[in-house]
Amino acid sequence: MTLTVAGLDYRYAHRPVLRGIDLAVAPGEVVSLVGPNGAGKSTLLKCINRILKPGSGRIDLEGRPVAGYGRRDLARAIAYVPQQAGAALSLPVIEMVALGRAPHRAYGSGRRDREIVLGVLERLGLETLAMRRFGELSGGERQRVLLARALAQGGRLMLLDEPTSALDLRHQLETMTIVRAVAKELGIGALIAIHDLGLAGRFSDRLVMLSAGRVHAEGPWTEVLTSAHLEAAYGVSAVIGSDGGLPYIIPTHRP
Amino acid sequence: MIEATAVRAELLALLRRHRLRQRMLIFAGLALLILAALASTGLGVETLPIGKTLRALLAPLLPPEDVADITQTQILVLQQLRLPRTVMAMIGGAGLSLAGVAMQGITRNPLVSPYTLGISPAAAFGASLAILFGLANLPGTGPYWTVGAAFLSAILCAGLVLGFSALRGVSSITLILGGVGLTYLFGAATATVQFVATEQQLAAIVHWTFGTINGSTWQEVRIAGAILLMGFPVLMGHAWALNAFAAGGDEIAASLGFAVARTRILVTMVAVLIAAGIVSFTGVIGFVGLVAPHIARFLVGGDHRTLLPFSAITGALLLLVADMIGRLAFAPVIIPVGIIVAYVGVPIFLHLLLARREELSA
Repeated sequence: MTLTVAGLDYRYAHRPVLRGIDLAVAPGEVVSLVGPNGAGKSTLLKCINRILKPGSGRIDLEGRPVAGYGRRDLARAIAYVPQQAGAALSLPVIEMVALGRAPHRAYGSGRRDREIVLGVLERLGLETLAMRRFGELSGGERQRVLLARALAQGGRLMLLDEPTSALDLRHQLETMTIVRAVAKELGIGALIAIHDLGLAGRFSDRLVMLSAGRVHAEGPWTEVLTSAHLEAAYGVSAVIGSDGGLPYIIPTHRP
Repeated sequence: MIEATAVRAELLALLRRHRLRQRMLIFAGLALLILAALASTGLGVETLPIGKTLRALLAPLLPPEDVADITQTQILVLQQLRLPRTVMAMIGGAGLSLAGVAMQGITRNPLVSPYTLGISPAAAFGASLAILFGLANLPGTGPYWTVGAAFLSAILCAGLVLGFSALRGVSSITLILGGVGLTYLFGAATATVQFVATEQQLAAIVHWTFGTINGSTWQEVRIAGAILLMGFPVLMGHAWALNAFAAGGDEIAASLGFAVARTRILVTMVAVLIAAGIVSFTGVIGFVGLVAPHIARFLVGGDHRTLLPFSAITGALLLLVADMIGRLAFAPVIIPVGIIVAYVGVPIFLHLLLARREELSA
């Protein structure tokens, strides 16, 4: 397993945010974390990335507890894609992507790092934007740059925190397609916190639905995206349909 | 495959052009700075042309027939009176600008400058205390008491901000708000001193806060310069980390493997030391540390590996030019550089702001 989380608890100011979370991500597997606001999705990602320190439980990455990783070891193993990055003090795109090489290098970038950065830029079709300032780019382009940085960072696991919430339909599809393709091609596990249940169902191998800090449901979308689960977790009624084996969801009303 | 290499070749060409442009900008900036330094040093009661100034400064190295038209007095005036002023302007501008870049990057906030952390108001308070208690007028050692008090007070302020931030977990918001709080505190403390001060003391305090490099000596230049020379390599060593902080903030920097808390404290301390070391000698020169970094950023972009050295050049040039204007505008009256620098810098700043408005609004 790329990632195994067992019995994870996290409290914020004595309020439990995560309670007994069990979760696993296999190599090349795309897993979406869904659930209402405040269910603990982002908190879980931050615990895995050691930005937050969990109260109890285990988080193992490739069979080793993340707590035992060095700071840079962990950054070499886990690539993190934030929702959006601000633009006020923005770097040129190429430097934004080159930051992904930071955990691999003491200072600056060598020939191999440059090859990797250029390769990633080409792969995501960013070569014409390479010298532009990040702040000048559109939302879709920015998200591609952040993905490019994660790819340059390499590692065995990608954590994505709401990568599509600021994007239009086309860029949502584009972003998720890239994530899935990369995961499959390189055998990297991907764990995505995401609000859009349709996208989650469409692009993930498995869904994990969190509710009030617990895993409420888990499995392929057909098992997780059910009226009963949505009502229990979100408190809304919804019609779930299938179109060519892919889900669509129409929320109807509060029960 | 052929297509892939074509794309790569184009990308590499783009990269080379970008690097070349940056090198040209740094080179042009340095050339301009040297010219401005010579012009500034030549400027005075008896103004010398740039070529003659250069020869006078290099007099000991040149054959005597090349400096036959220059008197010993001219050489002495240039080397002992005017040159330290020029160098102090460059150190001051470069140092405050560097401190500004570092603070803006580490807090990921374009509005931050050494001023924001309360450094300048604290230095002003220290200086005003020295003036109030008459230490500033002690024969011989007077100026050093003022400088020392200003420096200690600035460092105390920085210690309070950092200590406060450390208690709350060193996030950029606590750093900024802590600094804002202390700015008001030290402002009130200085006002209190002014309230109880005599007329002469009050005038001296107000004069100190104008920010001037009048009468800078080599001794002052050596101290401020040494702090700058020690701080600059430390900041350069953290240029990549500053990129991460500026581009994404704490969590991104952490996820890229940077030691967030340690980097923030170290960079902040170095920035504070540089700023305090300068402000203690010059008085409050507020604007350079905010604006020179932005001017530099507009010209060379946000990569701190180029931004740091280039903003040092920008800051030095800005302060040097402002000082020359201050000396020329109403000669023989010299207007303090702390006043002029805003008049010079704001139009440049606003111009650049309008030229790039789309980026800052995002």
